[in-house]
Amino acid sequence: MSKIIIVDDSATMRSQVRQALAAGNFQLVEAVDGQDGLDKVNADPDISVMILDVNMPRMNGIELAEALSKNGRVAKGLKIVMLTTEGHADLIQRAKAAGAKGWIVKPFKPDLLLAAVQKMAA
Amino acid sequence: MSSTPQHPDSPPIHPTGGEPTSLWTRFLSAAVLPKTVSAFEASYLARMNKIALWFFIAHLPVFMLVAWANDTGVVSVALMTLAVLAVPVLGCRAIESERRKSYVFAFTSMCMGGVLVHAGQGPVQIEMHFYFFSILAILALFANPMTVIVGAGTVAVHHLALWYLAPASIFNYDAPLWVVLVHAAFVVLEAFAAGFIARNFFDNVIGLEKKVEERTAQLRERNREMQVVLDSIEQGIVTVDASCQLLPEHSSSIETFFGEFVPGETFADYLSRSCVTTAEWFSMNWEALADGFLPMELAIDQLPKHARIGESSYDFEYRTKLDDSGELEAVLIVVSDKTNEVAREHAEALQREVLTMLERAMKDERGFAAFYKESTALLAKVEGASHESATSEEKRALHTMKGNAAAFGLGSISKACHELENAWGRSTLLEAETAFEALKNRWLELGETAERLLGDADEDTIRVPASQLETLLELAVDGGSEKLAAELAELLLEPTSPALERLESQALQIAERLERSPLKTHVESHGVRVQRASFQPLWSALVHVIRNAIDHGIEAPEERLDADKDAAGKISIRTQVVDGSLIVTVEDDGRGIDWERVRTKACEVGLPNETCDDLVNALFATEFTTRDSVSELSGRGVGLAAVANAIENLKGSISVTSLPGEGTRMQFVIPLETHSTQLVADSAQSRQTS
Repeated sequence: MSKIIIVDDSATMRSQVRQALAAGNFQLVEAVDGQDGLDKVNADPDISVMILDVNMPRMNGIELAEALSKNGRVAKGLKIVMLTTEGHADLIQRAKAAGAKGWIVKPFKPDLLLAAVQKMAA
Repeated sequence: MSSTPQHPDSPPIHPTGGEPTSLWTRFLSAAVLPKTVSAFEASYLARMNKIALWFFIAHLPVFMLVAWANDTGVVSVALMTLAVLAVPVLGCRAIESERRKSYVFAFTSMCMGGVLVHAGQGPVQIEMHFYFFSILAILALFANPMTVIVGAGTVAVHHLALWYLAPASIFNYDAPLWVVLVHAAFVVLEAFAAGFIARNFFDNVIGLEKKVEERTAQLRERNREMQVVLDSIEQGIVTVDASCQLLPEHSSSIETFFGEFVPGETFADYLSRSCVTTAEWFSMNWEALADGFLPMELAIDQLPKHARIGESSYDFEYRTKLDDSGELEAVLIVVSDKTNEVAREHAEALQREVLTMLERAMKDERGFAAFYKESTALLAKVEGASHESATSEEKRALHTMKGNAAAFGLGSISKACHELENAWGRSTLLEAETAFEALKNRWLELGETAERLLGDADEDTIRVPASQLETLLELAVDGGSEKLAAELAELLLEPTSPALERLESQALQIAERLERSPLKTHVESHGVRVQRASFQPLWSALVHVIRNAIDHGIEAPEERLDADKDAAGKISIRTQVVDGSLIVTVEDDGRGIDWERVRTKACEVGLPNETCDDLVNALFATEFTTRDSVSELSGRGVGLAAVANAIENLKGSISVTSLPGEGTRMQFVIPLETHSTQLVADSAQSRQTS
């Protein structure tokens, strides 16, 4: 069973992602901001996919992606997909440079989010 | 009349036997080729005719040899052969058509046969007749049944004439007429076979090019019809291959939308000529489609769905075509012009906002008048600024206008302000100008209604209830001028409560948008009254403090419950007078300010960060933000700077108390003597909502 972490400071968004992924056979972990996400991923080598918000207190999504690239976790196979709003091409460029492989535009369609995570977890 | 029922689909019955006619017609249509001669047929026949000429010239020595061997007179046979050869030589000069030239050769061939049979008089004369049958078969090479018929006809006339006039020339015995008829029967039989082969040779080989031409013409016609269809479609339709290059077929509308169409260009490049940002977003998501990390449906779904070019709005739809292995082969892009629809929605939104405005103006006329006047001034201040030239004052002005507009329910204005801030942040001068025009136009549209609504009632208009006016009149009559002056001065002051209530309703709106609802609010004005004009900027700027408190301070309900707090956050806004100073307090019970982060950020941007005061100053400094991305609500580091500016103008000071996990209290202390603020101390007014 793949372990997925959802890093987003909005509880509403976390629960929406959780609901979308409920149909998949995943073990879900949540983090409330970038720092929390970093701590949880570092403590758990089983996490294989990260769904990551950009705009968060303490440590934002791009900083978190950078940190995970730097400490080698991305190289070890952690797949990062950003949650972003449409039209922020510049943000996505930064996220890609930081190690994120894909992005999902909010508001997302639950079935497409599920398909994306299933593909990444496979 | 016949009553025999006839099936509607059965062929009509001819009164006289149609069979022989139809057989003859069929024979004719098989024997006679279509009139037009294709270039391929003409060049083939020219070659064949040339070969035929040399072939018959080569007959001369052979026939002379035959004449010599059979002792039939070499010279006379040579002369006969030359005479026959004269026919094609002269004929080919006189005749243009290659087909007709081949008829001449058919005639010539049979005459040559006649010469051969004549030269071969003797024991092998009958064997010489094989020549006719060989040549008849060879004539099929001209791919024309008529050539075979001409040959057969010639040999028939030749045999009948010579049998009658000079029988020795064709038979070495006294042959009766029926022998001639037997020869003729074999010729007819062979002519049929050779004619059939010639026709099939024509249809399937020589005439093929013509067929291809016909098909091509049909296809061209269909393509033309298709193009007519494509040209009459209002939607822009283009197809791109897997590498995003435009395929040639397209509807002409697309050129009306995005300009000249160049097949082979990528769609992103094509789009970028009219709309750079949409093109950027398109090409980025197309890359995602190509690298295959995301599922194809998702990547397609994230391609841009709308674009705005000047006054026009477009919607995009994408349909994929996959090859047999499920790989992307092509994408059909359908672009619809939604300008009119968007204009209608815009008009409706305007209508709704006008209603909101009406509601606000009725509830708080002065507040609304002040808002309108201030925003108009702010807009004027912002005009002409661009991404390079915008000063921090201009940025503050725009930010304040955005906050105020949101607070007064004018979503389209706050959105337009946000767009302009974005345009200042990253784009070209042109985009900044476009964004400003959009904001200004929107403001003018709303302003028209606002001005009608307000009439002369701007913020300087003071409404006095009739009863109070009577009191004033009595005072004037009684001659108590000192008291009268005090009463009149009182009219110039306004209570802080409407301003605080405005802030309160703004807080509730912001909380809803930031998913921090429910929010408890507490407002206490303590009956403080202040001079309107000088405090207006402060009330406007305080929205930013409220927004920060909710956005950065108040946690999400779940997080609050985890921290043993009430799920609903709480915000208090108070004014009170203490020791001759007005104190405005905004307090929340959120997570508190992360001072370490403020210190780090202050350090990054080079602000002093040693003492607590340094950190408070940093917090209120221009362009200071702890956020790394901006939303419509916060993150630009402009808001608190606007507050600092307002406080500075009032010669006041700021103090911030914040404890991790417990909340933040911001206090603004303004000395009273300079602002003729008054305290009506008897009854403290406070209100609370939840």
